Amino acid sequence: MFQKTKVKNELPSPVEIGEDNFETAEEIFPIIEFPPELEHEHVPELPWGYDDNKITIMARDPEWIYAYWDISEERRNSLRHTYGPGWDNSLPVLRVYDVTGISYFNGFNANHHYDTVINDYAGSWYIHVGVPNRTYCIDLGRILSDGTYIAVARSNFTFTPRNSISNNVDSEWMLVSENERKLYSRISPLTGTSSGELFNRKMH
Amino acid sequence: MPKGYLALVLHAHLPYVRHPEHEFFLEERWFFEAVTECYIPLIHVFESLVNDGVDFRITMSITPPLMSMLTDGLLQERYSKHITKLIELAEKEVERTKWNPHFHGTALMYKDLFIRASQTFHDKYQRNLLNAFRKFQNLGVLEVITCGATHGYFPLLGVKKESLRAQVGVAADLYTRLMGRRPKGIWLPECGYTSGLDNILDEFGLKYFFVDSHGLMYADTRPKYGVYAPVYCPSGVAAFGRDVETSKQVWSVNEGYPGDYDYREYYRDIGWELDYDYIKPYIHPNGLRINTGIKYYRITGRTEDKHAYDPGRGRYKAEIHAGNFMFNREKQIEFLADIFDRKPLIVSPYDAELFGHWWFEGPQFLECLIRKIAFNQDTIKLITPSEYLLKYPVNQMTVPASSSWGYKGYHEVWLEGSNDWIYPHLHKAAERMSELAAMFPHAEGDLLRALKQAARELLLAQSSDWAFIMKTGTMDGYARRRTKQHLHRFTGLYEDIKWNKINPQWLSELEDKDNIFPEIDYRHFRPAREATGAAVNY
Repeated sequence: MFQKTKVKNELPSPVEIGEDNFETAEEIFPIIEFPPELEHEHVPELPWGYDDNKITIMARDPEWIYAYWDISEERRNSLRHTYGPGWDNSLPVLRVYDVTGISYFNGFNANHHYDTVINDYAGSWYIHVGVPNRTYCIDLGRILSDGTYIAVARSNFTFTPRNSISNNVDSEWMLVSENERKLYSRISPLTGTSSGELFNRKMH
Repeated sequence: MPKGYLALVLHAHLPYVRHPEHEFFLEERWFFEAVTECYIPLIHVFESLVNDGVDFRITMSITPPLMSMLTDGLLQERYSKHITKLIELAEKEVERTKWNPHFHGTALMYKDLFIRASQTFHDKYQRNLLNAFRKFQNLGVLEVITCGATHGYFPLLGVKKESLRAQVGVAADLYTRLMGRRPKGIWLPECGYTSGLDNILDEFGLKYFFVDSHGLMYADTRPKYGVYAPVYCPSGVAAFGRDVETSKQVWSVNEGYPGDYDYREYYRDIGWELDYDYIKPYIHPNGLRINTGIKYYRITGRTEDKHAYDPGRGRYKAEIHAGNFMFNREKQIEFLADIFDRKPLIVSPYDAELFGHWWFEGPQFLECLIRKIAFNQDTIKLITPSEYLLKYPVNQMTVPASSSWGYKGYHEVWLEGSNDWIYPHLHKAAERMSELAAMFPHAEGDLLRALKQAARELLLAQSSDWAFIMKTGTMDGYARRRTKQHLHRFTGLYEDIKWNKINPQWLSELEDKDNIFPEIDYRHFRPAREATGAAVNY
């Protein structure tokens, strides 16, 4: 009934349209390919680090924080020198402080803290703090064999986002409970996905 | 009197891709495609509505990289050549399908579309399509808002506040220069919001932004109207939340319109299907088959056996879907108006490129929808966020939740194994740029040129598009290269400036290659007066 175009050459087979691949991620962005000329253009490498002796943290979502740090060779040697042979046997840790509500953190007045053991080769880490809506500060530290804790660097503050509807109600801005119930049951569930994500992505 | 309002928001963005060093660059084609298939068709829709005296309101974010590309002479020249060639191909197609009734009508459709596009581009707007959007804004039917200067992802760049100031400040400057007034609102890239960053928006006079639904629903205090009214942040800037129902209607695989079997199939492009010798002049010069924009099939169903596209049927479906969308909005507004003590607002943002590029009939749907809303009912009315704030200047104050409209709703898309490595470099570069801005508050001559170029390179490196592409993994080589190249160029400039060894020739090369924001004010990177939380080191 319907005639297809006469094609002389071999076709790449068209993508089958199904639930999983109506829209592919690469279609929102260009299919990125280099013309042959550019293959030979030198791509500069970035430095391994900046020897800042600093740790920086960023909350990724309600339960996870990402930390990265860079301690210079000089600083490490200086620490090794200060603490002697015990230093190399010490445990590298990230000390996670919950500093929610603390306006001036002096290192000892956190709400609580705990340690996560890392390793000597890591320059970054994903920490599962597990609690939304809290403020955190993280030390890069070491625990000596006698249990002494040494802070090597202390991070900026970050806070994990909320992941639930608040229990705080503003008395000037309230619906009667029956209407609120109707409203919220219509809005939920919140998918939290972009317009481009509501299509299932084709997995590569 | 309407019972409620609908704000349709189109977010138009492309990463800044401009390669003067190559005559043909594949990724530039994506700009040409978007212009031909999306932006010009939208302009035609607006023209048609204005000519018919239809009252409507659309909000559109046109990102600074896109504004820059639309107004760039080289890209305008290349587009001119592109559309001319496309017309040539369309004419050949009309000839080729002369005896084939199933395709000839469609071939004629494309020829007509491309000729109209060319006329609109060349004659009506003198190759600068921004003239069109400015015109519609001045007529009061379109509100154009801005976005991050290079679509940087604010929550992750924001470790260095100066980066956010620069992303917003440079964007506001560009908008003001090109649109003739200051921007009132901003589309946060990816709706990426961290509680408190609205203070920076306030510094630049921006009155509102958007967050994803949960950004508003999970605010510090329960929002009285859910996502159906804006809230004020403590800074006084308003946050509007996305409505999930309208997103699903348009985007959902199972429930959404664009998958309808009568709509045009995206993947059956003649660039891939036709005889190589015939199609060769219209694909990649090295023989690589690419999309041309001419496709003859409709979706048909979950089958590889596609049937011929029928433009009439496609158009008919677009009308049906527009009617259905409007009907659902009426019901939604009636439900909400019943339980609220004010007129509810439905905010429906979409990627602009959905309309025309992914969903060929999208612009037709939009035009039908706007006309139906204007003439076939009076429950809902189109509005812009600015107008809603004029009607309801008093709103609840709360702090929206840090969030985004990306996968999983937070920052993971841009911070995971494939792309987390960029942040130490981006943060360091931002720190260095602030250092330079502080060292040289009043630069002139080559020093000024170098500082401006350093700012450009840093902003280009900050594009969230690169991290996104790295995450999606498809040919992420380009994204890595762009990131490394811009950071490398920035670092070179930083060192040259700091140690007083600026190389004017290298500078000229960079100015030519990375020419975005000619009037950039590098001082937006000046150090901020930081609050608590600075890193303390032993």
